[in-house]
Amino acid sequence: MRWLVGVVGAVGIVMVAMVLCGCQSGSASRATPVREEVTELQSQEWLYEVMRYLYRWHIDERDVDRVIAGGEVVFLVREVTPRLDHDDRSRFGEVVLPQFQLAVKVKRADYSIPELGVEVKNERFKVTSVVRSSDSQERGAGFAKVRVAYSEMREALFRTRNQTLFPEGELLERMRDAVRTQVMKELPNRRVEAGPQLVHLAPLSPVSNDAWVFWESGRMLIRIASDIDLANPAVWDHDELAVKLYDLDKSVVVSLDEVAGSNAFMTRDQAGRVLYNTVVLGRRLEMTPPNEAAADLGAPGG
Amino acid sequence: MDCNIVVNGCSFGVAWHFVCLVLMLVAVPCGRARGAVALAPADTVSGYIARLLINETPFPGEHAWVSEEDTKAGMLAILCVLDSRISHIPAGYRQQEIASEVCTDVIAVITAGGEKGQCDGFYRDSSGDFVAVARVHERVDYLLACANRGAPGKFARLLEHAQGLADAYVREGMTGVDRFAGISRVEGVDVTGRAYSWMTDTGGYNPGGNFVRIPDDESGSMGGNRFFTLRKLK
Repeated sequence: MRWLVGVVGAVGIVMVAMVLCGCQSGSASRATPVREEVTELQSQEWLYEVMRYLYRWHIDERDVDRVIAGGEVVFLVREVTPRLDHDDRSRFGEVVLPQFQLAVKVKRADYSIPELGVEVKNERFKVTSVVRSSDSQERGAGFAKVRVAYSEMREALFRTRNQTLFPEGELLERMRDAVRTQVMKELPNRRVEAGPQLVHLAPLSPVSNDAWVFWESGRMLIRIASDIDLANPAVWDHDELAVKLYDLDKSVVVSLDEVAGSNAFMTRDQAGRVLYNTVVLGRRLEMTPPNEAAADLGAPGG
Repeated sequence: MDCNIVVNGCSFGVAWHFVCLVLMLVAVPCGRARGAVALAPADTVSGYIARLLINETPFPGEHAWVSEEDTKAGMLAILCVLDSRISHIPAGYRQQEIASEVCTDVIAVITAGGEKGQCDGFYRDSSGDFVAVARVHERVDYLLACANRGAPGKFARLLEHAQGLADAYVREGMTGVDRFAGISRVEGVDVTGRAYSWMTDTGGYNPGGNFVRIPDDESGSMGGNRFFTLRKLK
């Protein structure tokens, strides 16, 4: 029996030693300490969420055509370190998809705003901007490369293409209040009949702090974007800082070349994507004037 | 009140001490009021410019916020764009192609094209007055309220910076350094140098035409905006 215990113990020690050796003899990047943020930026789960966000808001058929032949989706990932205020602990990163000619900037906010009494702290990196850029194909230095099989990615995106995440409970109420305030403020300018207003809310993304709303009768798009997690009540306490309106009748052009130099317009492609996400994938809500708000009810999207 | 004291024949010393006491009591809130952040009126040139700079750049908590330095740099870069549209029209271009209209001053540059013109929400009304849509004023008022809450912080410094840039511009013209002035080539394209447009740096916005996106390694993204120079014409 002692002999058996001795053998088991020896095997255990050897196995532990093998595991430890395995950890140390891995790739060079494993040998050096890997920052938690870089690990998150490279994690497949997070990159899939970023891809789902892009699939919903930016990628088109012509983009996918370029990837099919290669058989894999390539992500170039790095942490970037802009100069921050001394009391700001936020982290920034960049995800480049050279095949899609897309560069995605991300941020995990971590700072306080004494003037508002708010702690801004994201639990994960959130997308702050997405830019189409031909130079994204030439990047590489300083980036870690993450490869995912295209077929695997395609399957995941197809399976979740209609999967939606909507605010519930308190967040829904706060969002509803903010949208109602904007709608009521704009009513006199829009020449629409007073009374219940129909709005459509686009699905949210776990890697983004923005939300889009289509106000149907007002023919306006409303964008709510913040550095603060939308689930944080502070966003809605200070929604003056988060809301932007787009007039569909006045602000949409096919090409921004029509209004070169102006910062007041969006393209029909962008507007169309917002409309698909709000009307087709979105949730329909009825906004009643404040004095009727108690009877305000949400209905499933159509 | 001090008149009553004199009329009632109180000694000067007593009256003076009383006046001092009153002044001290009043001076605390007055001193705070004097120290509070305020912008020049919106119907003045410097007040109007300041509101544009504030409206176009992020404050703490807002989407695209990076740092105080970044937002201040963005404000200066926007002011440089406005000035370049007046003072530095590149060879081969007409001002109308860049600024949408013939503009002789900064207000004309800002209001060119009307309410949905070059600077969204800033326009001349039917009386010819330069005005801004309500949401611009609402946001500025909100930021001012935040800035004047408690000890002066980033909100206060950013608002004062915008007003300071605008005041200096009205008083002396462009004094800040245009960081894009020396750019001559972007991604293989010969460019004029200087920025002539800016747009919110998200969603792949691009102002079109001969505008060329200034990349990150040339600091083309600042204060939540992407800046654009012009293709050099042969």
